[in-house]
Amino acid sequence: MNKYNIIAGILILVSIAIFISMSKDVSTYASFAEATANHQRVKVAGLLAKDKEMYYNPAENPNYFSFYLRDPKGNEKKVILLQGKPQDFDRSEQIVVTGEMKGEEFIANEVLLKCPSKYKDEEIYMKKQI
Amino acid sequence: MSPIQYVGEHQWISFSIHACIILGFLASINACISYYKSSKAELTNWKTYGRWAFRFQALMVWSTMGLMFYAMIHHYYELEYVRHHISDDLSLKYVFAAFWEGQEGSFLLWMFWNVFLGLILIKTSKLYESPVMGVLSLLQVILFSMLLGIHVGWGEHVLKIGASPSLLVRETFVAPIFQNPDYVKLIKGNGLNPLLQNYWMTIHPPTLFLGFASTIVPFLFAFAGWFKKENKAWLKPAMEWALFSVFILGLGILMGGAWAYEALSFGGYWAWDPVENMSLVPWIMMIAGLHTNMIAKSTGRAISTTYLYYLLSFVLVLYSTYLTRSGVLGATSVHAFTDMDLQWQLILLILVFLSLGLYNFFKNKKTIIQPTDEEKINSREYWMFIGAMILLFSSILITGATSLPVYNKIMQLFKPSYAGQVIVDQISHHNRFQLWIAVLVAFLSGLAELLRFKEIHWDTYKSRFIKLISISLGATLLLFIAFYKSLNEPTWQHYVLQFAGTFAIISNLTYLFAFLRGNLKLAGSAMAHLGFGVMVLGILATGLNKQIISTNLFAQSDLIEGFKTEDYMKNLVLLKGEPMPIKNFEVTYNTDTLLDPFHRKFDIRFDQKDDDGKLIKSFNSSPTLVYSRNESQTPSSNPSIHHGLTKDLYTFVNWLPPAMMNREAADKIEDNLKYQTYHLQRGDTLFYSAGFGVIRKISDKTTHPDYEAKPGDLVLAADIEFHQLNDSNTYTAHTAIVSRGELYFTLPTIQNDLGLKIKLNPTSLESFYPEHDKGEDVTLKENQEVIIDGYKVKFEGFNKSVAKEKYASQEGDIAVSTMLQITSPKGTVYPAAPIFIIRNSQIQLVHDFIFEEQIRLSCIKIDPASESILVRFYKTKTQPVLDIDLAEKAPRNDLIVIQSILFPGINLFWLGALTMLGGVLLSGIRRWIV
Repeated sequence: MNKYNIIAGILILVSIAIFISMSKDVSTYASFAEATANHQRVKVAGLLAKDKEMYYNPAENPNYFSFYLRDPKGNEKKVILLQGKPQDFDRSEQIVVTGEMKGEEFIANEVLLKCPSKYKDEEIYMKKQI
Repeated sequence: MSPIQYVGEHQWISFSIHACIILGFLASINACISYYKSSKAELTNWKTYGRWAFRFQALMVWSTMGLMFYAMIHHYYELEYVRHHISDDLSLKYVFAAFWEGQEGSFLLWMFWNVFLGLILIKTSKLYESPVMGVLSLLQVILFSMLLGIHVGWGEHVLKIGASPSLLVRETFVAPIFQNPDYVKLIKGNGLNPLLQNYWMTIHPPTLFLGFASTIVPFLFAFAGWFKKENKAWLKPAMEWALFSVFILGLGILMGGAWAYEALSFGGYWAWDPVENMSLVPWIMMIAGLHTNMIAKSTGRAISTTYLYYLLSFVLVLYSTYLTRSGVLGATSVHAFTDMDLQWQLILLILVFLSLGLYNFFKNKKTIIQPTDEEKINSREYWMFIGAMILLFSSILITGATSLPVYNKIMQLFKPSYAGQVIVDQISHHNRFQLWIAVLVAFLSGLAELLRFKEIHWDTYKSRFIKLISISLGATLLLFIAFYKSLNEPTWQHYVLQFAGTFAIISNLTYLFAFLRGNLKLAGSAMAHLGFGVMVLGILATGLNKQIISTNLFAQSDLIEGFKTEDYMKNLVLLKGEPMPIKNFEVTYNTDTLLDPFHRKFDIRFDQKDDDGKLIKSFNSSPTLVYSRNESQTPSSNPSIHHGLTKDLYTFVNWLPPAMMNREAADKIEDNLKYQTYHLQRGDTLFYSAGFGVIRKISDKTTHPDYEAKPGDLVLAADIEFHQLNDSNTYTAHTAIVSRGELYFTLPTIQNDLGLKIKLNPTSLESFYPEHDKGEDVTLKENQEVIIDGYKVKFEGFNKSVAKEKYASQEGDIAVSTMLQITSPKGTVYPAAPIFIIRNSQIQLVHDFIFEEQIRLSCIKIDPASESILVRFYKTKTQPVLDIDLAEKAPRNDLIVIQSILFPGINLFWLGALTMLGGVLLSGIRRWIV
């Protein structure tokens, strides 16, 4: 099966090439400092600064939602999400935004929330005593 | 301290479930060993032992499931699994969905299908029975171990073997409530997530799990063949089962896509989510195996490749089980799973079968004789082999990218500070590579069909092949030229894929006519490949031409560098009743209705217009909102899809006023409002900061949209006309309050344009519907008349058949209504019918009110001897007072944000996918029946 070996060899080379090129698609979660430095589209993971303002006024602009995110290094930046306010946003534990820094603000058009699982409410509901 | 004696627990059922699992575990070990022994020496009784042991563990699987269903149907909430997944208000038709919502249930579902397949294999696998059933029993052993729920002390560590579905709530939680021996009465079920309460959740998991379970069977035959050092005999049953597996697993995956598209607001049928990827990859490998199996059957080549592909397909199912159930995927998936804390057991599951498969492979490799000469380049087998290799390649790429969290986890084992890597944009990542896989597969599936199996007379066939391939390519080119403009902003890669997809369709059609002459019995593979081509075109159409139309045409938006306008103009605000023009449509949000406590339906009308603004057609779209049982949680949004032949319009509600989101948000808003109370009579005026309101009407009837009439209701409603400064408009608000038995509830209204919230204070009720027992009593006989306060009161007789809608009736009531006729001094005649009830030997009165005259009438006594009644007449002397609560700066409640997406060509995708599976089914049926 000589011919197959050659083809298999080619495919292996291609897959190695692809996995190497994958590094372009892959990144670690950036901090705001890194995002400011490299001006590229990055993912920033952090916690919602619950003491700062969250702003969403659909009557004004349904595609503008802003909030403050604290990255693991403790930096806090205003994030402008070019979307509506995601469901369950207030309850989220961790937020991952994808976008880039523009001046002092992080403009994002994708967001992923890590919420306490919807499938896992470890509460025992009590019957209402009438 | 003596242990608490609990009352009302059904401990027997917990005990029985646990016993069944342990017995099933032991029986499957027994089956495994017996079959192993019998595979060594056919003449012994071991095979019979194996069979009976397998059948016994089958019985244990069924019993475990039966007992769990019994406990779920009977709401035995003291069982943790029942409490977690069932609730009193959950309809019985969702008991299956609730059963496999949890991990324990879905493991059992898998085992159930293994049993089903095993019982068929006992009958059909003949000479291979012992190794086939032995390995299948081994899988059952490990799956049973996942449910054992045994904790073994290991030095300081506690080793946890399995998580049992038989646990009681009090064994799972520590809570003060368990100090109460009677706690069972106090707990209630958590229930099924309302998002999962639909028929998809009933049919998708069983289909998918039959698909997953079936992937072991081709491997079992491959294993058995090598184990018995047989060359080729196993290829036939393996292929039959591979066809079955490809069909059913494909169907399961497709159902998942349909569910995501139809019922969830994911915005499509496929998102390259890790959970989706890991169900796709075993399917791709099964298809690769199926093709090499075909080669092996006809030429004797690629036997070992087939073995490895089948092994890989099954091991990938196990790996997918690990990924989705170990919690390793974390935040990378939209699918959430409860962590059963079984990581090491799941890894063991993979390792056992991987090493067993490879051990058997290498041990017996030498005994499998394969031809040593090379396949000719012009044979169908050669290209099929290449195609299978490309499928393998596709699986490696998908699995590799999806395994990034596993890689991160391994790195963190060595270096805890390692920062995890993520794919920034997984959809474009996978699309970029899988596009080329699709191109190659589409070309190969077109080309290979036109070649023939075991080609020997190439010289004579050559000219025919060239003719056919030329026709196909020519027709493809024509079609391509005709349609290449139909894609929206394609890249050259997309053109290549479009060409390849079209070629797959045309060449397979050519094959159908040139070779089969329409003989459908043999058409399975051509149909499957044709379907693949159609599906590719459907994917292109929906992927590239998908258009978000919910863009406000008037909104001014500054272009933001680096972002496409589509990226941030997805949402559209709709005000109730106000038409909003968008591209090609005018959208109007008309009403919203609460269907039941968990579902709210929005009615949104779409008027399709042509360029001149002329109406083409209208249709309604009704997306829904599913509320969670947890009052603080945001509801989930279910889309509504308007299906069309060439395109679908997909709409969902992306945001709605917090007051409608959940109880907690609504309460918070209500708490922040500052109400002022006004005491007013009809015609009075109230003043607030920006204007004034006049009470136009006070009545005992309401048109409030939230009001549902119940017998015996007393309604008080008011119409208030508002005016504000510098505004010539008149705003009318209708608000009401209802007294129902011991309770009352307000029906507030929000005047959105004025930012006012208006409701009636309950003190108004006493003023209009007095409860005291004052009044003037008169005795009346039938047809007797008397004048009180200038009102003529006449008793017209009894009505013994009091209709139930007149009052809140109860079982065993004896109720009589007394028919009165009241004539006012002005001459207006009013009927009245106070009701006299004997309920549990107690007298109850139901007053009747003449609202217009402020008169209350009651029948307080009936004297059967004299056939007379005692009527109490009460008229409110002073004008009753309406107490109105009014708050300013109330947030709007008539505004929603929607997203609407056009999916052109989505039907090509479904048609293609179904044709593909239909082709597989056809091939299967031909082989299964013969």
